[in-house]
Amino acid sequence: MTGLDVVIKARAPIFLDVALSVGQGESLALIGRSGSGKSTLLRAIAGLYAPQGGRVRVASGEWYNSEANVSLPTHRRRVGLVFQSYALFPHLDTLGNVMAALGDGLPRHEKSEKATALLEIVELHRLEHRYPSELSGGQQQRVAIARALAREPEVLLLDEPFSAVDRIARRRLQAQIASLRQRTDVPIILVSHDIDDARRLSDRIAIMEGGRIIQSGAFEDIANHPANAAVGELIALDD
Amino acid sequence: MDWTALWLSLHLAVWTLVLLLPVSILAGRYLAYNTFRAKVLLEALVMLPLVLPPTVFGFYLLVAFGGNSPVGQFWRATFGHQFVFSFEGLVVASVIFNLPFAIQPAQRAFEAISPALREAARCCGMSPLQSILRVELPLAWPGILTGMALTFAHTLGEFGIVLMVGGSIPGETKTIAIAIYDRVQAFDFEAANTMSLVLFGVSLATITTTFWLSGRAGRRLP
Repeated sequence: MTGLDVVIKARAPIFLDVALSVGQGESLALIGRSGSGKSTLLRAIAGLYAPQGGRVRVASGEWYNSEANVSLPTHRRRVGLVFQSYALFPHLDTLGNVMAALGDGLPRHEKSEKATALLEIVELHRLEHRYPSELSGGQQQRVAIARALAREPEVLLLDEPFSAVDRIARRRLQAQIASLRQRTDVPIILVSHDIDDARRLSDRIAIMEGGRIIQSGAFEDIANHPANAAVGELIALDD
Repeated sequence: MDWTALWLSLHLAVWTLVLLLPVSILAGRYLAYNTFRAKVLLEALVMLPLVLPPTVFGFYLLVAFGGNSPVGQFWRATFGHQFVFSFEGLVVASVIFNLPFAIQPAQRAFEAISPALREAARCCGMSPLQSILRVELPLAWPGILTGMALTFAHTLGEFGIVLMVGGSIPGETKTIAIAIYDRVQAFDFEAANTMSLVLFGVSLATITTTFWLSGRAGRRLP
């Protein structure tokens, strides 16, 4: 079953002409060089960037459809977005950051219990009263993942989640995202410029170049039969 | 010691704060997040009271709000007294004169908030208003507080603009700064000294308390 169905067309500030689908529980890695449109595509799915046309459809309905004039604002899209720069709220502690994404529907003690449970998933429940400035980069990114999960998202978007952490934290984060995939059946899109991340954490890979997906499929298929020299070069970069 | 003048100055400072707080938040946030053609001109206008002599500024306010102006005529017809040389006129002059002290720090504080944090707030399901209340204002608060402290202390010490727009009417427009000047003119240095010391103490206490509060609020911020 398709969990996320995306068609995005944009001319400015960056050209995009992308169509992709991600199944429930499936993880798709978007690979490409800087400026290829990966992050802009994620932002368009989340509603942080308004494309010139297309549609974004999730299991519960349409978030965006240019023909039907539908465009839900970001806060009404149940999207979990993990930012490259973590984007944790510096005035809130770890628990507060996760609780911030739990909405207003729950009593405070229930929100606190739920946030603690989410922090247990990323093994940070012992640091729930620390502030972002008191956490390492890897720990901040794990809080960001717990916060993204707090919305019970229909789509989980990870925008270069390992780019700002050291090698040890990167391995730990990779293990936790791999474990997360066993627990959730939401479609996941992972943006990376690192083939190693993509190979470990995704079912499929889509290569982006100049705002288009130029090849997609399993890593082995792409590695064995790259569509062109640019794809071959991109795959070879991390070999 | 002219307690009436001190009370009037505090009264004026509080009214200026109450009116400028929402203005500084709205204008500071708008200027921080928006780019438009006349932005530089608007920012320059906001800063103008800092560089213009109070006499020049006061003169234009007298022209704009004086008895012959539409505002002045409307005020007299509605309230039965003229707008200038009244406490209300003094409050308006003080608000305009303090715009740079209140708006600038607020604008800089909003500018310092990473766009990613505002986007993260929206991804957390916060509406634009919730994002302002739960993320932007707590982060911008030290800057807004600094602006309010500067405004308060500056209002207490205002002289030129008060003299031009308010005159020196006891209980109505005679603030402590004017009272000190009056006492010096009358060679009553003891009273002038007492009032100066009080003004010095209140201003120092205001700024110190604000810096302490602002430091506490900003301790966890990057």
